[in-house]
Amino acid sequence: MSNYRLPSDVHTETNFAGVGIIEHDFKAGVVTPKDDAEQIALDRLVELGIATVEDAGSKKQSTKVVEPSMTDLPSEE
Amino acid sequence: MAIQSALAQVGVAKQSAKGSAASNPTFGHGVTNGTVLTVDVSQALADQTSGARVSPGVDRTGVMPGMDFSCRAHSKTLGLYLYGVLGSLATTGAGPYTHTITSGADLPYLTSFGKLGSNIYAVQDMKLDSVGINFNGTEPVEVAVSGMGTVANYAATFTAGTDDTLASYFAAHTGTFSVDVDGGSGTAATAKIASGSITINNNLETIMISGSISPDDVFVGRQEVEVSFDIIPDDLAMWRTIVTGTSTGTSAAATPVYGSFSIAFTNGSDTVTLAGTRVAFTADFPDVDPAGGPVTISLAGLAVQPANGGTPVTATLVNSQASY
Repeated sequence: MSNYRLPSDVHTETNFAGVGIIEHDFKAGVVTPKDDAEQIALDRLVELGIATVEDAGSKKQSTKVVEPSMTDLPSEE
Repeated sequence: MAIQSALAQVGVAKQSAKGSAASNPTFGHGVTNGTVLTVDVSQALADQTSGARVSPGVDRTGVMPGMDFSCRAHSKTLGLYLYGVLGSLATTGAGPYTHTITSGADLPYLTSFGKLGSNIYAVQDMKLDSVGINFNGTEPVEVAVSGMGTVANYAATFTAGTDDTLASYFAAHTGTFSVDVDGGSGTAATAKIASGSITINNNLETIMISGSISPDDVFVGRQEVEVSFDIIPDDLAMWRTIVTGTSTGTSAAATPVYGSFSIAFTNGSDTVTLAGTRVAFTADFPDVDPAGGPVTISLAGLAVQPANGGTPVTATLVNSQASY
């Protein structure tokens, strides 16, 4: 999963059938998506030229949060 | 005493979810054409024999409320109409705010409000079937809005959070226009446009279920973006490119060529830009006129999904509205 760089705060809203409005608020700086929905929203911001991909995520294959591995998260930086 | 037809306003608010009707409009404004409320009552002669050569009654099969009007392009209200018809929004900035509005998988539910004299009605669970941005010469930009909802409230209130009725609006004489029929330059070329329109259609249909005379929901179909531009050209290269594939082509092309457009209007410090990057244009050979005058080419275009994905049209609105 890639990191994304946002030059300013961004609020996004996208509508999905059967789900309704999905909203995200991202702060300026480097953002790591917490879930697939955030990644979809950030990918869309890249398409729109609002965000850029910070890295290709090649250092770590996954940043999926699983309870026992929470202590490993700081080393992901 | 008769009812004064000029005492009319429309309002609109975004709902948090289906069924959560807004109690008052977020934005209110006047209309230039159409009606502040539509109610399509579907009923027909009962197909039943009787003792006479007439039908014994009428069957009512649906009461479908909606909205259908034209209005000025007020900067703040326009954002909600564009979001309502396209479905996806990204807002940046801290004032002025930049709202980038693009095609989404579904549309937000709105509550529409219509006020005629002292009569106030509202329609919940509204989705926008179509929005057209129309401009002609130097005149004010017109926004044609059509929507379909589920349940009407015939005793609504109307206190707009932002009343745009007296607010200024975008006009065609502030516009900058560029159109490229084949994308050859990579950037749309500046064009002399006399009039035009950009229309987003969602092909909505109501979902009727047994147990209710009103729709249960409104469902989106394929989103179609149609554009038309009346251009005063310096030559016929545009038409020739559409037909043959290149500006110097000598035979008809078997496949369409894709171009682009970008239309921008300003109103003080507010701007709205509508742009499409993959648009297939057609055009008839221009009419001639014994009385003389400049030739006009009428382009008709279908904006579709770009080759690398994304949205057929992007609306970028800069204004002082923090959120929608």
